[in-house]
Parts: sequence; structure tokens; C-alpha cells
Amino acid sequence: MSTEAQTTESHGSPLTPRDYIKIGLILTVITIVELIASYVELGALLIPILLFLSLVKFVAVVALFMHLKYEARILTQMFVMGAVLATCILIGLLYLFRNDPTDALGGVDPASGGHAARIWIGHYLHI
Amino acid sequence: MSEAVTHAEHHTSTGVDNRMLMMWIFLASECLFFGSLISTYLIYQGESLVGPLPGELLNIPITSASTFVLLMSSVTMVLAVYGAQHKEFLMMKLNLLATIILGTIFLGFQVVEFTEFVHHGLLLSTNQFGSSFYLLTGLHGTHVGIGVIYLISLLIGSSRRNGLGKDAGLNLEIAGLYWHFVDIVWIVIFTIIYLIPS
Amino acid sequence: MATATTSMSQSHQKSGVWDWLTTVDHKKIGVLYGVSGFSFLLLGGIEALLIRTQLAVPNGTVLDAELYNQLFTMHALTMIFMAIMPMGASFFNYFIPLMIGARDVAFPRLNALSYWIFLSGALILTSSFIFGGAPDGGWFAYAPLSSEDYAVGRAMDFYTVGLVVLGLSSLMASLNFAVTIINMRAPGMTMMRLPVFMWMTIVVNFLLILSLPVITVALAQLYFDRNFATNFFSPAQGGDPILWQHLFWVFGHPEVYVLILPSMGIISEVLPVFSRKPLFGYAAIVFAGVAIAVLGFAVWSHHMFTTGLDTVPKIVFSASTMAIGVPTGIKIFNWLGTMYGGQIRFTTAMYFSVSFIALFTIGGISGVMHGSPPIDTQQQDTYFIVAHLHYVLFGGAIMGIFAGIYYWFPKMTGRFLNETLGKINFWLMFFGMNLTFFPMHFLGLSGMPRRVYTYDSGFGWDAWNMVATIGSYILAFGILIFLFNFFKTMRQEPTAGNNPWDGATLEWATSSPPPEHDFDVIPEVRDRDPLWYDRDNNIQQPEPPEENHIHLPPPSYMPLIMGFGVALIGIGALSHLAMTGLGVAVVIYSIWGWVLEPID
Repeated sequence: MSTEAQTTESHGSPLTPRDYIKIGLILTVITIVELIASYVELGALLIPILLFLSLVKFVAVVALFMHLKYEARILTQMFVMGAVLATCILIGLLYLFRNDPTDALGGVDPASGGHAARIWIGHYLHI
Repeated sequence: MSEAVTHAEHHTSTGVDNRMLMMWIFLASECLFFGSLISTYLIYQGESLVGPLPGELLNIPITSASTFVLLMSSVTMVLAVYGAQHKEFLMMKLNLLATIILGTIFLGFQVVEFTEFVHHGLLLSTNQFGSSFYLLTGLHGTHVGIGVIYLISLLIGSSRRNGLGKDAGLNLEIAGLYWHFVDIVWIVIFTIIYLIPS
Repeated sequence: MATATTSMSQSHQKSGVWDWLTTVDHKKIGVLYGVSGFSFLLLGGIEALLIRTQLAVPNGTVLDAELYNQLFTMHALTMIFMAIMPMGASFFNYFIPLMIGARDVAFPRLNALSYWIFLSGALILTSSFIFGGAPDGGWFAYAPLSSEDYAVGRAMDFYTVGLVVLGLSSLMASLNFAVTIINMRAPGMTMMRLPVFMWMTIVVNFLLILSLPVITVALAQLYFDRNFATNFFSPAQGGDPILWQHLFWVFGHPEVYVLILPSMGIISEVLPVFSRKPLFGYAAIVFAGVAIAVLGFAVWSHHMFTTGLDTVPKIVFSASTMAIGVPTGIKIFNWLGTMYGGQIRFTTAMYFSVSFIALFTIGGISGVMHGSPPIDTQQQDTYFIVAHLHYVLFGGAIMGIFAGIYYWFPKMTGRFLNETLGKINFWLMFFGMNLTFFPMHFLGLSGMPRRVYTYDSGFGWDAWNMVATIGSYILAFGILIFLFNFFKTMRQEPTAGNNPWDGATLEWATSSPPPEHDFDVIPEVRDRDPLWYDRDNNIQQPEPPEENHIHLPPPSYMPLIMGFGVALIGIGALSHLAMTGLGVAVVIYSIWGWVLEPID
């Protein structure tokens, strides 16, 4: 994660207020790009692009604003544990509901909307 | 895992403050809290039997504005932390105040949004979209609200004679962790609920 | 700022009521958890006895169907959330600081708060009996049994509110314990020198930290379904009752390990001491515990094989379930390896520990059996499952907790529990438990369903049900012997020295019972079995200095007030919004009081 040799033991980050404002601007630009992307016809690429951009924002805030990049490794381990587990459970649950044979028994009326989330998640998981 | 030998010069075994460690572990727990809520939202996407549906209601430009407000509050928050850590207490207080105002504006946006939705006939009980949307964004809003109260308490505390004492930097940093976390949860919610077409 | 300075001579034990209400001492909070947990164990036991009495003969008339449903639901809730978990928390509280060489947990007041919130939640949930009936939808509260249509009245609201409050308590305690073990270890106490009980403790607490939020969300959804007309779990409006099951078991399966791992940790302490041999395969046993926890999050749907899972999920969850047998087997072989070739002393604690291995293995094997979907389909909702889970939770968790009580009683009180009575206690519990639960395997295989309040004669179930009921009374008699032993012992003089069993871990380095500040001098750790290392290498712990001023946090009544505020919020969620508002006000007041209170 730390490509630059910034993993010093010292507390607090080397970032200055100028850096923080720059990061804020970059995050704003990413948000604007996301907004534009959601209006442009990108087809199947749209969702991966949006998820990637929000992941970039997520990691930037956690690493730089929350100083995780400059803190002891134990804190990264703790947070990544929760974030990864939550993502895995989310994917697992969506997979399970995508592959729910009880739906075929007429529990849900397909005419009333179908399974949008299940279909797009399923599409990218190739399931 | 076993490298964490205690050093005498460190106050704790890992060198990390107890409160800081607890906040990070708490945030790991919060990941699962919001993960469950987002899962529910996604599972029920397209399961509403009656309208109104998300496509008819969600207002992306306005929500982009409120997302921008929350993002800016993260910038002011990190500047407040910087101020506290570098003993520039005026900078800390001003940015803390700005964060509180921006957080309140975000909540204002949410109130407007909810009122609008209710006008269009979307109640908690209307359909699956209503139930899962209100629960997810409502509990996120509750977190923002608690964060605002948290920051107001720190602002009041910092205007006492001793300010926030020798732990000012740490106190602000921990509050900042909570605040930024609420922000990144919104980053995820904004993408998943608003930007990705249902 | 005010300071509380305790010098050596001042460390007398105070025990007035006010002192117990305001204490932030981890040992006293541990005792509070232990006494509360044991009281709820007795309550849950009485519930179980009523159930067994009803089922002793066909067409029993002791209970009606309604009360029976409440009793089996509350029996499970009481045992899981109010007996086993708090008794585990009792050992965590008492022994985390002592075993890692600290003076207290990381957040002493938060620790007290956890207890008071636990007590609030437990009392709210139990009080449902007198406010219109206890929850009756099973501890899993499957929709639609928990919906407004099928659970009329407040009973299931007591369930949601009670469990959220109890969950809040567990979350606070878990955060506290996790931080304490990671951050408050004595010099030289690396992670790989932690006692195995501490490793199992940290695993349990991370399981809770990561699984409680999921059940909290599910409970919030259930509460909203019942009170604000949302449709999360009602299929008629587009909801899906299966979602409840998924969320419940994402929490529920790690919860099972929360119940069993503390006991695995306890016997990993008891077996080496009474075999006079270091634990065999320390690293393997630690990593097996971690592996169980990780896999524990990947098996939840094996509780739902009969709900109509697709083939791939069935295979995956079946495989991950059976995979858990591997780390569990590693542990069992390590325990056997620890005893092999040792100079075994058969104390009561050792009896309980050895019986843990045997009984847990039986429960574990029947668990792997219904990891297989076709077999599970046959066994689902029969007494076979009841037999399995009681072999794990009684034969495992409770036997382990009793091992811990007999092992650490001299440390906690300075007194030995009577060994003769202890062995009578053990044999009665052991025979009683096998007599109660082993026949349930046969009952289940011959088709007797769970949760039926009565049954007709002529299915071949009569004899085994009678045997099980007789067994449950023998078991209860064994617990009575324990109570007699306890009260008898408490009237004796304290005669146990610092280290009566020749234990290897740090809690035995201080006096029995330990002083308020735990250690006169924080010990230096040089080995995985620090006391044995010091003994064999003739290392003396340094003498305490003449002037020994140790700063301890002063008592505080803020945790009590905040716990009361949380209770009011909970009661408000069951009665009137105004009560909730009052509760919030009390909590905010106590947070301010908490923050502004001088602590050092």
C-alpha cells in the first residue's frame, strides 16, 4: 500500500492544509466525473466505472483524511478486517438471493419489477 | 502478529492510543452495520409491488450537491484536526464550526428529500423501496446527527479555559475518524442508490 | 484533578452496596457478571425442567401450548444471552487483566456500563413474562412467526428491544476487551505468549464485534415491521422472510462460537496445569481458534438447507461447515496430546475439562453429520438437533465454565471448593446430562419434532422421553450440590496461597484474592508459561518498592446512570415515546458527567 516510504512510526501525517485542500478538490472532481458518467450512455461499463471511482474516493478518505496510511499497521488490519468481511457478506447475500429457487415458485411476481439488483450483480459475477 | 513486543517508552503494547484503537475497531463493526443495510437495499431493489419507484423520485443533481457538502465537511474536519495537532486553536475552532454547519446543511438536504418523497406518496410502509431506503439513509442521517452533536460538544469543550487539554489533538482526531467514516459510507450509498440506475 | 492513590496498606476489600453500584474494578464487575449469569442459568434451568416435566409422559398436562412456546423460547434466550455469555464475560473481566499482567481493562467505566446495560436488557427481556407473555417464536424468531399477524401483543417487541440492548452491552464489552488484550499486555507478553484463554477471548470478542451489527440491523427491521408497518419480512407486500433467516444466521453462527470458544480457552488452561506439562501445540491451537472464527462467518446458510437453497450454495456451505471439523479436530488432538505422558492430577476442574473433550466431540460429530444437506433435511427440526446443540452447549460450554469455576475459585476467593462435593457435583451433572440428551438422538431419528408441546403415545417416544426427564432432574440435583458446595466453601477461612495448583500463567503470581491493583509490580514475561519459567530458572519477581503509589480509577456512578438511561430508552420503545425521550436525556446528561468527571 505504501509505495512511497511514508510508513514512519511517528504519529500524525506529513500532509499540510494545502495537501488536504488539494485532496478535497480531487475528490470533488471525481464526484463530478461520476455524475457525468451516470448520464452518459456507457452500457455495461457504467457500473464498474462507478464502483471503481467510489472505491478510489473511499480509499483516499480512509488513507489520507483518516491518516490510516501514516498510522500503525494494527489499525489498518482492524479496519480492513471489517470492510472486507462486510463486502464478502454483501456479495454472498446477493449471490444467494440471485440464486433463490423459491422465487420460481411464484413468491414474487416477475411483472412487478423482477430482480434488478440480482441481475446486475449477477451479470458481473458471471453467475 | 507477534512483532508487537512492548517497549518501555510506549504507553501501550502497540504504541497506539487505546481510544484510537477502539474507534478503529468500532468502525470495523460499523462496516458490517451499514453492509447489512446496503445488502437489504440491494436485495429488495426491484421488489416493490407498487410505486413510487426509485427512478421516479431520486433527484441526482440535488443529492450531488448534498454529497459535495458532506465531502467538504470532511476537508474542514481534517483541517480542524490539523489545527488541534499543531496547536493552532483558532484554525481548529473555525474549521470545527464549519464542519458542524456543513453537517447540519447535509441533514437539511435529507429532511427536504424525505419531505419531498413523502409528498410523492413514498412512506416507510409503501413498498420495499420505501422501507429499505428510509431505513438505510435514515440510520446514516442518525449517524451524521450524532456526529454533529459530538462536534458541537467538542467545540463547547474547546472554549473552556483549559480548552480540550493536552489531548486536544487526539480528541479531534478520534472525532474526525467517526466523521470521515460517516462520509465514506455516504460515498458508497451515493453510488449504489443514486448513481447506479436501478 | 483529583487522584485516587491506593497504597499497599489501603487495598482492603470494600463491599458496601454503594461500592458495588459504583465500582469500576474489573474483578468486582466480573463477580457481578458471574453472579447474574449464574442466577439466569438457574432461571433457564427451571424453564428447562418445566419443559421436561411437560414432556415426561405422552399428552402431558403440566403446561399448555402457549406457555410451552414461551418457555422453550425463553429457555434458549436465557441460556444463550443471559447465562453463558455473561458467565464468559465474567471470566473475561476477571482474568484478562490478571492474565496479561495489567492493572485493569482499557476502559474501566465502559466496563461497568456494559454490565449495567446487560442487566437492563436481561431484566427487560425477562420481565415480558409479567407484561402479557414472553416471546414465543423461538430464539430465532423466524418470520412470519414474529410478524404482527402471528405474534399478537408485545411479546416479540420485548424480544427485539431486549436483544438490541443486550447486544449493545456485548458490543461495548467486546471493544473494551479487544483493546485491552491488544494494547495492555505486560512487558514481554507478545501475542504468541498470550495464554490460550486470552487468544480465545480475543477471537470471541472479534466475532461479537463483527456479527452483532448484523443482528442489530435485522432486529431493527423486525421492530419496524411490527411497529411502523414496513414490509421487510412479509411476502404479501414484496418482502422476503428468508432475508431474516440470512441476517439472523450471519450473526447466529458466529454466536455459536462465541458460546463455545471461551470454554475451549478455559480447558486449554486447566489441562496443562493438571497434567504438569505445557500445552501441546500452542501455535496450532491458537491458529485453529482463529480459523474456526474465520470459517464461522462462511457457514451461516447451513442452518437453512431446507429453505430451498440452490445447488451451488448448498455445496459451498456444506463444504465450509465440514471444513470447520478440521481446526476443531486439531484442538481435540492437542488437548489429548497435552494429557499424554503427563502427571495427571484428577481434580474436579480436570474432570470437567476431560468430560468437555468427550462430550464436545460427540456434539461436534453430530454437527458434521448435519453439515450434509440430505442428512440435514432428514434431521431438521427434530430432537436430533436438540441433542446435538446440547452436547455442544451443555457438554461443551457449561462443562467448560464449571471447569473454570473450580479452577479459578481459589484465585477469586482464596478458598478451595470442596473436592468431594465437587466430584459428586461432576458425576451427577455428567450422568444427568448424558441421560437427558443422549436419548434425544434416538427420539430425533425416530421422527420426534422439536418444539411440540406434547405428543401422542404409540410413536415409540414414551420411554426415551421419560429417561430424558429423569436425567434432567439428576442434572438439576447436581447443580444444587454445586450451590451447597459454594455456600459451604464461602464460610471457610481462605487458605489457598498465591498459586495452589502450581499454575503457569500470570494470574497465579499475585495474591488470592488479588488486591485491587492486581499486581504490586507489573510482572516481566519471559516465556509462554511465565511462572514455570521463573520457577525452573530461579527467577524471583522483584520486590515492590517501599512507597508504592498506584493510580487506580476512582469509582463512578455515571455508568449506572447511563445504564439506567439506556433501560429507559428500551422501556420507551415498548411503551411510550416520552419514556424514550427521558431516556435520551438521561444518557446525554450522563455522557457529559462522564466526560467531565476527573479520572486521573
